[in-house]
Amino acid sequence: MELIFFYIFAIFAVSSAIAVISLRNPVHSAVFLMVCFLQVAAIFILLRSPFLAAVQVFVYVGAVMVLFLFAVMVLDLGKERFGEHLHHQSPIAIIIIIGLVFVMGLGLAKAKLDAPIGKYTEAAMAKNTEVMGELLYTKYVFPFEVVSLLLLIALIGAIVLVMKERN
Amino acid sequence: MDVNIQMFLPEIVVAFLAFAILAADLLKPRGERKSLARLGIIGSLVAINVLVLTADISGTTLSGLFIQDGVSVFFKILFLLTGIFILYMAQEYEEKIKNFKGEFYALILFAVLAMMFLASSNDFISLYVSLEFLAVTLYILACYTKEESVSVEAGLKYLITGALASGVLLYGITYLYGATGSTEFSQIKLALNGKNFSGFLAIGLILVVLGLSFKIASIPFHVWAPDVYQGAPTPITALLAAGSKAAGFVMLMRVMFTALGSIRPHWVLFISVISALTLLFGNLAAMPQKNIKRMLAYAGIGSAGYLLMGIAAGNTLGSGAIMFYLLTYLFAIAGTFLAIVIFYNSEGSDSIDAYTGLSRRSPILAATLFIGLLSLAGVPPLGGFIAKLYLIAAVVKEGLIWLAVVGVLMAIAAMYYFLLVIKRIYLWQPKNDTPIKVSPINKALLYSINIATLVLGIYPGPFTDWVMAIAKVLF
Amino acid sequence: MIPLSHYLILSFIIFTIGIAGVLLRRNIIIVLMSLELIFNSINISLVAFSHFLQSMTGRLFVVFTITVAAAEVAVGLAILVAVYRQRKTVYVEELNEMKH
Repeated sequence: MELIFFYIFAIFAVSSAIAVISLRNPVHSAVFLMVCFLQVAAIFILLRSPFLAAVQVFVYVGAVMVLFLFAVMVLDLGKERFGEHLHHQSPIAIIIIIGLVFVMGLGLAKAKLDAPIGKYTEAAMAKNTEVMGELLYTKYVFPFEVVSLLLLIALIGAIVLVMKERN
Repeated sequence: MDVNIQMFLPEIVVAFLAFAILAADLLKPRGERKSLARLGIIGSLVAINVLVLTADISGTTLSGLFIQDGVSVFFKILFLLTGIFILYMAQEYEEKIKNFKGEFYALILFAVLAMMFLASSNDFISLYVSLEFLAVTLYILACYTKEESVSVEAGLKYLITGALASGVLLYGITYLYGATGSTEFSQIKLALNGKNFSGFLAIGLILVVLGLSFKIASIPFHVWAPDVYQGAPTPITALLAAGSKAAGFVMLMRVMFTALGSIRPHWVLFISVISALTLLFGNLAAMPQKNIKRMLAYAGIGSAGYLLMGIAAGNTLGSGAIMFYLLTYLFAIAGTFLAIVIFYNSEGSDSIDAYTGLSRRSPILAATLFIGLLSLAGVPPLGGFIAKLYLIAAVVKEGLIWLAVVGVLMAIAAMYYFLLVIKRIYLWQPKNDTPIKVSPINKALLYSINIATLVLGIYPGPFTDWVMAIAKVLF
Repeated sequence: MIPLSHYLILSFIIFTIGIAGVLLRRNIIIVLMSLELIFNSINISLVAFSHFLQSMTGRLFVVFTITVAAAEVAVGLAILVAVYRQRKTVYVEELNEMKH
């Protein structure tokens, strides 16, 4: 049963991702990007991470998506000119992608999960959100403080870069 | 959770300093902000003092995610010194920045803070967030003169390459986590003991090295360097050259030696090939350049190749040599870029043509470029020569003779293109021979930077002993 | 029970699509969207490893990558707006003022 759901989500995610990079109108791309984000959130639920699924919907679909649509509307881009939406260096890009697929395929084919297994079994994960909250404010307090500084910097940066000149 | 506040006291000082500058900027009326840069310089000196006073406290804190040892102390001193030079350069450059002058200094301090966090990261999570903190700060700084279209173009190119590289790095980290079940460097080291080299590990290793190549500007993520070095405001170019590269190498040393040291046979050839390609590309592409910042960008790519030789060597000698190289590199870059800023303020040009006959117009600027560029090229008796010598010795010791040969050949190539610039400065006739004014403080600073470069070359003993002693903690 | 390899392959397919978008498209907004696809694909494999290794680290990591990605896209779009004001273009190829 879960497997069927997984395939549904996966097919939607992959096809909307392809749509994002192949459509000419940036607004359409943005909408398909949103579809892809929602599928990823659904996959998080299959992986027993409801908190991350909620964060994914709030942050990506709520905030990032709005930013993209806002930028598209402000810049008033419209459709790209027909037949001009690929780089001239696309052969190099295709070689890079084939190389990546080759290396990763080779690695994944030989891979098997043999790392030590941790203590968070499926039963312990019933309190997923609580455990995450606790770890975030105890064990991971250093990166937590660093990302808070990062968000402050992003705020300052957005103001500095976009605000019109004062006379 | 264990918290030993003394271990991150210098970081707290720098963070408070940056916030103080932001606050003071709001209180001051409009106009110049040079006093804020001076506040930043004094505060950074205080932070260095705090760091030296607490240097003997070593160990991990904040649940093992934060580490303080000899290497992190060395790099933090290096970053704070870089910050001081950059703040000084930035206040010389202030007229070029139209708005938000106070934030410019605060962001430079935040970049220094991010680099200090990187030097103390003992876990892939803290490494990744500190790296992104540094990267986002530098994206903003690179396009700070947003009225100039080259500056915003540089910022955008930097951001796209940087985000792509950080994606590759993160994917690699994911696979290392999958292979070892942990993100902490010491745990990864434990998990790798007596383990087969699995597919997950191979993917993770390749992608992490490729992702980290962005910060140090080595192949394959070197493509941003020329455009960004040329387009960014000059103090920020110096920050990218001296600070960002050093931050990249402290990460690389911790990841490759501490976390992945036990699987060195699997990565040594990979790193050596990247190092050789980077050396060849950087030094050969630097030759035809006409803009001095762009030429230094290619030379910087070449330097990344040299420093990677130290990573490939994977021994104490190699990692000590990396630290010594970065120290000499800092002084060479600080002198050269301060001279470039002073020259730009007077002439309004960065093209190498404009430097023709500089020795007749300003002997001190010419002498600084002479010493700085020759130290970058690795000419004896300057600091850069000793550093290159140690790096080459380190790879020879590990039997990588072919890499040492490439290194020596490319040192000769570097001498060639730097000597062309120096010939232009000293032997050619200037088009106009009005002298360039250099203020007494600038003169004093340029003299002391030049003396530092000379001292590192003539009397390197105490410094090399120091870096070789602290390099041991990595293994 | 869905095997780990399914998640990893899905993640890799989306990652490759994202890389292709970054390398092939000229419109910078689409390039930024492709970067978001890359980060999402990585999040899938992080959570998948975390689930199968029964450890929390990967899930915590995802919280940080989501935050970082949001900050990065905010700065990226701000830079894009600044570029657009200067150049009136959002195409990668038209940004080549510094070739020499």
